[in-house]
Amino acid sequence: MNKMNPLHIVALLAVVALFLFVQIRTTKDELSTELTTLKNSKKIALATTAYRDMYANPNKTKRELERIVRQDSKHLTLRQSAQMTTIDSKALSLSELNSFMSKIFNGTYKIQKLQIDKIDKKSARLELEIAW
Amino acid sequence: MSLVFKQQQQNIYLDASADIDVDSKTKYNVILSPNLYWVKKVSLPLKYARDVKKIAHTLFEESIPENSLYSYHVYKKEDNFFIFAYDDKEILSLLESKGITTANISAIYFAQSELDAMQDIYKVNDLEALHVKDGIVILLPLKWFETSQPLNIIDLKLSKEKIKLQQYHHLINSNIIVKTIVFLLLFIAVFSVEFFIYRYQKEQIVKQKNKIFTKYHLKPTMMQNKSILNDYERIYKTQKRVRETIAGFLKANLSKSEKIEDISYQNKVIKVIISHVSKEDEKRIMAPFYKQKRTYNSHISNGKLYIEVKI
Repeated sequence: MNKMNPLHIVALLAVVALFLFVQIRTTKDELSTELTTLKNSKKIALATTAYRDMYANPNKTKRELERIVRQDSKHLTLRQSAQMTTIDSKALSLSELNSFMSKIFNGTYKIQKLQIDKIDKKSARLELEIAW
Repeated sequence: MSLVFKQQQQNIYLDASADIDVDSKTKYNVILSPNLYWVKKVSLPLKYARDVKKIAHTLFEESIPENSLYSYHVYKKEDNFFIFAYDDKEILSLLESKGITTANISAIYFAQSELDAMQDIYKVNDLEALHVKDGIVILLPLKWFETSQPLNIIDLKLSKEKIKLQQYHHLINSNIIVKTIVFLLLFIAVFSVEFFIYRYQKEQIVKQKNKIFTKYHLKPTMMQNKSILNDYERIYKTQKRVRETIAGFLKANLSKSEKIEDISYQNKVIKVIISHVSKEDEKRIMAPFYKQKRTYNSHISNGKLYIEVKI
């Protein structure tokens, strides 16, 4: 007559219930952490993608700079390398300089180096390096 | 290959005066004396023994003392129900007094179910004998009978009507235990469902997170991604300040004679040279930077104002 003590069954069930309760609490905490991580990941992903598009997109930057240089002046020279684009001019009229620099400043380019020297009342020398 | 040794089984008749030699290696089939239980043979308009068991306690209201915890057993034989009431604690105490532990017990039977086919008078001790009257096994004084036979149950073929003694019946009402078990099982079921829902949700979130990491080409750890974002934010702030500072110089309050000769930016330093500036004019030109509490160096040499602003 190896009958199991019913109190042992109650105790076993109570332990199982307690174990499940603790597991629920742990999983709930993990769920909350994962939710926070998900929200942060989304935020970081969107921000990083936007910044990457602004400062680390060489093809887009090169394309836009080529277009600006072509539109603005024949006196501008554009040189491309793997890390940067260099735009310079030995003599640029002040109106051309104004128009060109407005476009550069309004765009989201990573200006590495800028040098503007006044030659006379109507022209200036320009050297600009834009990196990514 | 495993060897299984079947324990030896032995039938014993249990009453208060029985003298039993207990062997710890033997399993006993215990047949309860009629003085260890109440029995009623009744005919009821019910089909199943389990239905009769529900009302069994009402049939013994007059025989059993009030507030006593008796267990009930019912079986059907032909058209009659045999209903038993027994005190688990009393039987267990008697077994204990005879040196029989629950580990030594194979099964427990009623004399009624096992010996009701007896034709004779069987002596069970010096004072009592078993006899079957109207299908009920009863215990009568031995002296009422002239002749009797000793009770021999060694080769008795036992029925299926065995009972299990409730060891803790006297401690806690079995109803409470059953309710507690049901309550706990309910809790376990609810907890299990809740646990699996949370686990499923967690898995879904992890999947979504992994999708985001793949879609946006993020690095494996959040620390790396935060570091990359911080770098980009630093670039953004620097570029914003470069533009604001140069715009500040271009909008500076210069007199007609004062001209910007040179603007340069490299290694986070903006340098500006303004010509035809006197010492008094320097304050006017640099006033906006002074108000913004910007760090700058300036000096005048040969009528030119040299300014250096750190980004």
